[in-house]
Amino acid sequence: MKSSNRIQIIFLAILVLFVGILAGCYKSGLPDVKDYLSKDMAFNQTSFLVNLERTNVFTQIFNADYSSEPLTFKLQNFRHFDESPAPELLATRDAKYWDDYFTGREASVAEIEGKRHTEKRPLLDIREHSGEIFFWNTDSTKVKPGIYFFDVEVSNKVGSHLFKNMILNVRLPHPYEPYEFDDSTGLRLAEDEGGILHPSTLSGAVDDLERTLPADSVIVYFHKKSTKKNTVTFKFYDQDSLPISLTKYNMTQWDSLRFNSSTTGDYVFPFAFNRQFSQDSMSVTYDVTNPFPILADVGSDKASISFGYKRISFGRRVNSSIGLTFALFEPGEWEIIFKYKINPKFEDD
Amino acid sequence: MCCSQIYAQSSEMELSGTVLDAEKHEVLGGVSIVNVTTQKTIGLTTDKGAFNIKVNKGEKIRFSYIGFMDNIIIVDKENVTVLLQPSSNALKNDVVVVGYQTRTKETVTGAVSIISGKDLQDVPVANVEQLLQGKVAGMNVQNLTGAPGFSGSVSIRGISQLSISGSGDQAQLASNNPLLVIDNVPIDYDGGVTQSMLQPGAATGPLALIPPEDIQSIEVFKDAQAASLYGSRGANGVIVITTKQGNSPTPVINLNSSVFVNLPPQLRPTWGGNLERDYRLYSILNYSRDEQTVRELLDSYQFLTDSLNPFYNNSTDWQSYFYQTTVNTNHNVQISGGNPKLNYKTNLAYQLNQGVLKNTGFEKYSLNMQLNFMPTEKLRVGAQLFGALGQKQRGNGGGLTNNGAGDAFTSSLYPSPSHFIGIPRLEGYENNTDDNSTINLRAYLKVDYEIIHNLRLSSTTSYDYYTDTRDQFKQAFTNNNQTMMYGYIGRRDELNSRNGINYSYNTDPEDMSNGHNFYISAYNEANIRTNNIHIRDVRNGPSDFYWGPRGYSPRFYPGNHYNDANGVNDNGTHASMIYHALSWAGVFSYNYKTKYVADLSYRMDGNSDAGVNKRYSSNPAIGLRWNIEKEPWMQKMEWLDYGSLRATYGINNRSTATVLNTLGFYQIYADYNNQPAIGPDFSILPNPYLEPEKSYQFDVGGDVGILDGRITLSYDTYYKKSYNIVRDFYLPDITGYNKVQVNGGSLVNYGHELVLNFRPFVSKTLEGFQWSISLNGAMNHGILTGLPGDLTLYRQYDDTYHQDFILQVGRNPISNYLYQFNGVYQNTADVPVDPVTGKRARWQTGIQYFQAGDPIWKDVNGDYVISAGDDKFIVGNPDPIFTGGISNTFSYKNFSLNIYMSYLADRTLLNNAMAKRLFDLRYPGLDADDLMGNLYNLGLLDIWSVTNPGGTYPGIVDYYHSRGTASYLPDQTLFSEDGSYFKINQITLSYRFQGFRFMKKTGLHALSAYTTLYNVGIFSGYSGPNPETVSRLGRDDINGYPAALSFTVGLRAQF
Repeated sequence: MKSSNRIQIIFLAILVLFVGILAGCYKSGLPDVKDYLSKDMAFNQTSFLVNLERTNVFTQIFNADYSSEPLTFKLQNFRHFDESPAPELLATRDAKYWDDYFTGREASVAEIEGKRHTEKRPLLDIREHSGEIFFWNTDSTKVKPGIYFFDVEVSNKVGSHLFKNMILNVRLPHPYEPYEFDDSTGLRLAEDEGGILHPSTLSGAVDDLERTLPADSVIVYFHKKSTKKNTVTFKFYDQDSLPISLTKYNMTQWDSLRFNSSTTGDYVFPFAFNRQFSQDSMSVTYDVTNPFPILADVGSDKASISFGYKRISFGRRVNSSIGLTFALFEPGEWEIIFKYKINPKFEDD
Repeated sequence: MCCSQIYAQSSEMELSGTVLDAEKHEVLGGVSIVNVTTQKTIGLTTDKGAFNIKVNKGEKIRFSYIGFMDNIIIVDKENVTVLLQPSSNALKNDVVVVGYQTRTKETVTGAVSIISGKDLQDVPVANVEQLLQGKVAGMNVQNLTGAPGFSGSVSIRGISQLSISGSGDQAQLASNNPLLVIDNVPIDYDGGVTQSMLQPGAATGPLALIPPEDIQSIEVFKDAQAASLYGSRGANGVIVITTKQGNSPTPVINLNSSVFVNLPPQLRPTWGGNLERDYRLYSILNYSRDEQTVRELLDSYQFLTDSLNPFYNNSTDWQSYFYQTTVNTNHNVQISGGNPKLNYKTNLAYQLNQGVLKNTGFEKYSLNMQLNFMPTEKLRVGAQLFGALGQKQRGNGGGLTNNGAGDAFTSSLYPSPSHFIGIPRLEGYENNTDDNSTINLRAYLKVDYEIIHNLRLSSTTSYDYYTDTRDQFKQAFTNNNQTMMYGYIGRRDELNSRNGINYSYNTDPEDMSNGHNFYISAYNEANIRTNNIHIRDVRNGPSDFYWGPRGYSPRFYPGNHYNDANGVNDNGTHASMIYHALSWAGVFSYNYKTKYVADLSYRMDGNSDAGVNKRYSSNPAIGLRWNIEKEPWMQKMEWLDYGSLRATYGINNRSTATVLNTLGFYQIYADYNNQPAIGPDFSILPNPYLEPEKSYQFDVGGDVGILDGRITLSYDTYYKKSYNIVRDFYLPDITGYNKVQVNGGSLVNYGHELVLNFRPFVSKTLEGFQWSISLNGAMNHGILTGLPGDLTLYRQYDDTYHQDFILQVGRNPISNYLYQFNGVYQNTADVPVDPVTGKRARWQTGIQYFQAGDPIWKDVNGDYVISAGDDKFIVGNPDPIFTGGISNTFSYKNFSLNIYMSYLADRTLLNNAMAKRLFDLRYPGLDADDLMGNLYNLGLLDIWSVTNPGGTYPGIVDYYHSRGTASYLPDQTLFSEDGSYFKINQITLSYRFQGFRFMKKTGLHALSAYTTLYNVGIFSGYSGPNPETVSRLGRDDINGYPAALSFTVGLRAQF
């Protein structure tokens, strides 16, 4: 009796052990979840055209093809066009980093600048896990315009892939936009390609003979006066190069000038800060950020301004306006001059 | 009829009596009565449960019956009532039909579960499949649809398929369904509803046509050894159904009639009337971008603004117009009689089962006639004829499972239907016709002849024929002002012939348990199947009353957009195929004193569709069993009834080859030199080396019964690897072909199954209180182990909801690919800011930056943009880990009560029904499809708002903003929920009339009345109404058909 009990207990124990071992083995032969690295990952652009003296941002350029995240991106092997190493692309530069988002409702330049801080980043920079490429603000003393090559290594836990011979095409700076010079040769563009700047909008303007003035009857000049501070000044001149008083533009909504930011999808208001009319009312000056608008380089924002006036044309009221969509990249005191080639008529008929 | 053995002994007496089911107090016919001393069978009970045998006083006699525990009585009086205690499925003397061979369960090596036909009674369901839920550990039955006559899903030991077709809620996994064998005839479980024919398939599956009253027993074979004898069709497991046989010297008439009411269950929560109007107006007035938009929207939505107009001043509960309560009937008459030499049975069944959704329902008629004839001891002949007609109404049409009307519910502000106002979508459910009929005829003839002692020849031939028709007509008003007529005719048949020889040899023919026993058998099986489907599809007929033209209309040439909106011309022959299969099988079985059992089997399958270089596939299997209680060293353990250990291993094949993927086909292309050009079809490159899908499986299990059957336990653990799974392999376009199908997918399922039966209260008398509990549970883990081409990941794009499926090696075979929802931004300041661009994080398209109330989606790659390409996660598992059932049976005096429950745990569901209705609110008036949906009951959700900054669901009322941020898009984990549930399937209370005078007067032998509640309730944390009526892949379709609660009152009588 006792021995058979012992046999039974031993038997039961062996049985439980056997089933336990068996069930424990199930998992051992099975593969673990492995990261996936697609061979079809790709950058959707391999050539990056950048301008000096502004921040250049390339976002949403990498298609991971469902490879396991996080992927790690590394830039390497910077070369000149002649394959000689280009360590200058590795040198760190001051990069402006936002701490808080830009609302477009900030009340002063200082408030906007207060949302940013400066960090040292390599000149050609890549975001570690998303592959966005940035080329920070620098000038031609640091980097010569021309073609550069670099490679990008993309890796995750299971492997890596090297994207070779990506092209960095460094061009001359655009101090402002629209810019009437070629950023590669420095030559003035052909007239039909924007070699001469005209207002973005010119409507309802007529000359003395009631003929409609087309937009190319006004030439726009950008002129940098000094580098003391960052401002923009608007001035108007007639065909005889005599200044036109801003009082002529009597429909201009001076207190509610605003423009639409294509980046935030919302208005930027105020247009700029610290409005100053000159004593003779011939010009208006605003303090601006650099760049202006602030998201001109990291987004695709442009500022817009419009000056309007009304007149009675044979008993009918006509609203007329002249406007410009522009951006300023180079810091300094800028003047934007509207020069009429044919004098507009401000008076009533 | 019984006493064949007479022993001349002094105290011989006649013993008569009745054998009853101890739980349900029903008579048991066909119970075998064995003299324990002589081990001789001395009789059987009649269908009335009566017996009359000659025995000696003081002798022990044993009563045994399938699905019941033995009862041994000592003869002392002349008239006894014997009660048999049901055993769920773990006992040793049950008879099992394995591989067309009848054996006692104690010599079966494979993992087999038995369901007694008794457990399937008293519920008039449309499909027997519904009753199998939770009855077998390891067989996961989900009633995906409440539509009468439709099938759910069945999978034995996890999924073994990877192929997904369709998208969105209609995405379907390739069928995992087991092989069905009804009275030894192999039958396609799906009944012709093949994967490629989801939409036109009109068929009603065979399980919906067979009446549960006619079922004697159902055996489920789960492991490779048990299934291997059924060849390649048994790779997903086998379900063997045996119908009842006649057994009574006088004819017995069994009558079962019931009336049942189908009640609409809990429906989708909805806001109506002023709540809806106020919400929509508030959203438009306060959250439009500008006043102009407000004016435009309000101008175009008169139903919102014109609230004083009685026409628009409604709160219409649309669901109440679509759903209904129906009264239905179920009748079954069985006439049977005979003895072992000649017996007959006729079963006649009728059921009317109208659905809770208008114009849906199922009506079936069936007749099953069986005749068994044994002119001599050597010759046995059996024949059966089964005929059935199943008619389904599908309401306004729809796919395989979703005949529901969720999309059809419009705004509650619209007036309810009346004589003057018709609503096209409701009219569709009231007046359109979608009739689907299946006619099934099945006959078999079985001849068995013993040439010399123990050497038998047997031959079985069966023919199974189906006609499926679908007649659909949509009135112009309901179908964009064009009538639509759709006709489908499918004819399928299957001829199956099995011829074999078997020999058995026992060293001690008198007592198997005392010597060597051999059994050897060889047979071949030939199978011819054909399938022809014709379709006609005619649009834009002259009126709602002219259903034509029949046949192909010249007006409706291919490409005519009136013909088919999708530019597909559906007229003509949809499918036409013929299939031949030939199999050879051999079985060797040996046991020593029924203590050590060994089974070896081998089967070869060849078929006409297989790759030309791979015609035949082989299915070897081995099974071992050790009945420990027969060991001398276990004999002293009195409390042990039995105990056994089983182990099996086998390889199964599943033929997946078709003519298309192994041989390719030709197409007619545009003219070349005025001659029609014929060339290969470039959609698929033929692969002549395609092998069948295979699986090998280990199964180790044991059965224990202790304390006179008070507790029985059965445990199995298995490891099943399915490999060679066919996958699409897309080819570079320089090959000219689009894809080729190759072997290469593989997955593993492993798990444990446990069945536990208790009998806390056992009474030897009828009056006593009896209680038995049966518990079963299964745990199954599936792991994907390989994909062709050494890939580790495959993403199947879903173009409906972008809820892509991911097949990743090392994970559960199928996963979802979703954004990870981590809560709601309480303040705009919490939204991360891109330091380079100065912008807040945003959704991939548009420039609506996240703000307070928007979802916090995990930004995986850190680019401050939530995008489909790099911010989704592989999550979830649409296949449950745990499934099982619990049954409680109480009986006291003439009452018996059965409560049946089932459960499921650890399964991921996507609540698309809710997601769709919430996502549509980004358009506060008409939705994206220019349709007006009804409004989800937003009061049920903790939605973020300025006044509820702690809300757990994103803000919704700012429709313009949430349109830009896609806050409620369906492919996020916000809608991914656990679908675990606990369900009360059935509560049956029955009363057995006994000893009433009217019974004797009317010749009633037995009479019982019962009442049943079916689909009583489902308990779940899931936010939708029912976590079971979802798609196989765990998508809760807004058009899903809800499972009705049914209430039955019925009578069972025996004359």
